[in-house]
Amino acid sequence: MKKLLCNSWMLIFLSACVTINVYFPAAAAEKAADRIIEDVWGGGEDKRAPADKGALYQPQSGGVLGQVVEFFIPSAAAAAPNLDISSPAIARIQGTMRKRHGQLAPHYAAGSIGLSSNGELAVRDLKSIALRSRSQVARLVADENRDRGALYREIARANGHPEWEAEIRATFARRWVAKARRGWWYQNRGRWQQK
Amino acid sequence: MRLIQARIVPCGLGVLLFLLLASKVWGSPGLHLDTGPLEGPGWSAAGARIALQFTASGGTRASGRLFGLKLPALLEKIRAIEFSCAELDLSDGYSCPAAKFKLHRSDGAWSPPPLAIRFDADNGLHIRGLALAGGKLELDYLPGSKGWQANLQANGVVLSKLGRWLAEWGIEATPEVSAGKISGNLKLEMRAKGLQGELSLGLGNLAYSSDDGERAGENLDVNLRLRARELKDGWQLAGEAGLDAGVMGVAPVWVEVGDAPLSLQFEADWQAQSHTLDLRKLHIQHPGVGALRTRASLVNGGWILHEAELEQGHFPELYQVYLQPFLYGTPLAELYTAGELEARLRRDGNGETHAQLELRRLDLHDEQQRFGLEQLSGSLHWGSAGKVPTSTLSWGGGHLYRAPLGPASLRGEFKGEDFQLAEPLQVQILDGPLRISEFKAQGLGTPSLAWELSGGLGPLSMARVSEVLDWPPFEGSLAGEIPAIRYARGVMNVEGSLGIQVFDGDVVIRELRLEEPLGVVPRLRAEVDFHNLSLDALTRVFSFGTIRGRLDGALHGLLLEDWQPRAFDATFSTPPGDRSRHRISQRAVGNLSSLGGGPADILSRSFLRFFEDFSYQRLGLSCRLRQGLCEMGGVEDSSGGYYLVKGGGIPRIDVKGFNRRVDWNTLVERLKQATASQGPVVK
Repeated sequence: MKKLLCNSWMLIFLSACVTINVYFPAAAAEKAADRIIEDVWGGGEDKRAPADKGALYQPQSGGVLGQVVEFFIPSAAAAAPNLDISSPAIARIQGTMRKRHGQLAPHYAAGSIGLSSNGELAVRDLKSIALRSRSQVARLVADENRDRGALYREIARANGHPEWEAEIRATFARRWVAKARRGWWYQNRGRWQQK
Repeated sequence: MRLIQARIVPCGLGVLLFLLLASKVWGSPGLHLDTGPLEGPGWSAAGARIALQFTASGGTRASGRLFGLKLPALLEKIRAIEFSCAELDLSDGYSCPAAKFKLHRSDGAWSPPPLAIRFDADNGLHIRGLALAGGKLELDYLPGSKGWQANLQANGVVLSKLGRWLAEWGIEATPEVSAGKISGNLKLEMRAKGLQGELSLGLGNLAYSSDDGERAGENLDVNLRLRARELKDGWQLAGEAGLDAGVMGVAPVWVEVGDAPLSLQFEADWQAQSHTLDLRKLHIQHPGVGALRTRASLVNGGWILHEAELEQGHFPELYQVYLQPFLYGTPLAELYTAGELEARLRRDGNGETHAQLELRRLDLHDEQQRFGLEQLSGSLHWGSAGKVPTSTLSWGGGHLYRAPLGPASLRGEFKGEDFQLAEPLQVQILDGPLRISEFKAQGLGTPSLAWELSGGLGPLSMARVSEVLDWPPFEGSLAGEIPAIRYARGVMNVEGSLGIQVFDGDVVIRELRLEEPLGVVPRLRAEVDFHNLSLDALTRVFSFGTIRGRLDGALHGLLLEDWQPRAFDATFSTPPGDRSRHRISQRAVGNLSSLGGGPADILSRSFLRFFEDFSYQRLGLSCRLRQGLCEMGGVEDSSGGYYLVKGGGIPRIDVKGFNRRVDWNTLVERLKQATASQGPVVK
């Protein structure tokens, strides 16, 4: 009985996996998000962070993970191999965000702002911003969030699936955090944490 | 004793010394005195014990204790006061150059450094040298026939230290203050009618911040004067404040004090029984920005605004300081503004709110040049309910993207979240009229803003339309009746169709839809049909090389993103059964050939170069644009390709395309080159 129950759970789990992958190309979205994030923030993620662990685990875990993913989602990958992020609108938004990042970076580092769990920016510590700079930071954050919202919407639309917007936003929310530099802050279940 | 106590009561604590001496116990080497219960206005004590010792050198040493104290609020923790004086001087009144005090609280004791005290019955009590929180304090107490007067002078008290000291007394007065020095004067006067006081303070380099930083100030220099008078049930309050330097505010508004100081005046009544603060007058002046007068009440901890009036609201400062911070991230976040504004807000007895805005020559220009209005003037009336006067608004001109708008004036009614145009409006756009016969908006100021408009457009000359679109100058005109334009949830739908008479034919635009017109990525969708255009006129305008004949076409599923084509299904071809003369010039053939990827000078290499133009049967071109790729076709498929021009007569010439998938940007580049070049050289 226990085994049967276990198997049926496995079945539900597997079918859930397949369903998600058929409708939303999660892996491709992640790759697309990473490309945009790297472009906006400049360079890759923090290279110091995974150095020690990486030496131990990376070769094996990469291989095993790769196989597992391929085993589960061959059809999905075939159905939607890539997410198109080449539309002129996306490129323009990306360019604006890249330029703005130069102004935002010191505030990330100071912990004044952080990555919120909905794929946006939030002011984390208003007190750490000099009064005279607060308007400017508020404006940068509002503009960035307007552009991020537009970016998620545009990616969904450029791929002919406006209904993917929420999933694309969720994917970005995870990837912004994953790619954040050490010392930056992010929201985890409503609480601020430092990377 | 009773007689003596009657004198103590009005004079308070200082009179104890007097009592001591009035008891005529002079000359004995030592003396102890115990009093019974003592009381004065607002305070009482279980008793006092006083001791005097006369030293051999002729001096007097005094000590005493006032115990079982019940003092008014803020001092209520003090249970007992001890004092001692090593050298009591009795020559001129009673004075002590170094009196020591100790205040016993329920949870500890506090001793200030020794004080200089002088007292006599007529001139009262004077205390000097009281050091507190890094500053110096002086106290004067003057008894009078019907009351008393007290004056407290403070110099250079450090607020952060004062906060810590007060906290020891259980008073959390200044938890938010991190820096600042205070100097000032507190004058209290007790009269038959009650207590009255006046406080003048100067605060230097003040910094404060709430825990979350939502309220804060830095480097503030503040002057403050407060007056309070006790009434039967409460207090009458008034005061002025001036802010000479610094920056302060409540998120998201941060005000930097410029050359001219900010000032504030207020008058209020506090009613203790009903816990109501009636702010009869609050007047704030921000030089160069505006002046605000309000009347409000604080009832049970909640503010009720009765009236507010903004005078001399001056742009752009008013926008930059007080409005823009609320608009960040919206299409109104980046405006160049100028002009003046006055506003009035009033709440009547029924709880209905009425507002009035007077605009005086207001200019609003979007930094991204998407829209602008100049010389906006008028009176806008708004009411939450009931009868609302008609609003009037006029402007001297403006623009919508690159299309100039003419002057206009409108009348309409605002009520709640709704607005309705009271009479039809006509605005010149480019060189023709935009007639708005009806306009209604709902959900103003909310995210669910929706509006509906009906009217008509044009005729506008295509010459002007093509000018603002950066197209070659067209001849013709644009006009249309608009049964309805509906805007909701960021999408504007145009019902009905716009007709363009151009190139001797008709263009009809249907199902025009504009998404997020002022958003990050505006998106336009439309269905466009072309009927019976004259190719002769068309090719002349675009200097493509002459083609004679007629052309039908369709541009369906047109999608512009960021005003750039993103998708469409376009087909253009000679209308079926067209009987007009069909000729195509050598240059046009060359250009068509180059569009398809061939050389533009293809004809100059053969004997065909001797012919100026050629006859054709049909011509046509189709492009299905998706994701930057144009899938091309012609009038008819041929082996491995398609016919762009199917020739007729002699010499017969066909133009064939072979490239089915063309990069859209490349195609546009080729078209630009073709229309710009002088055409192939015929040798």
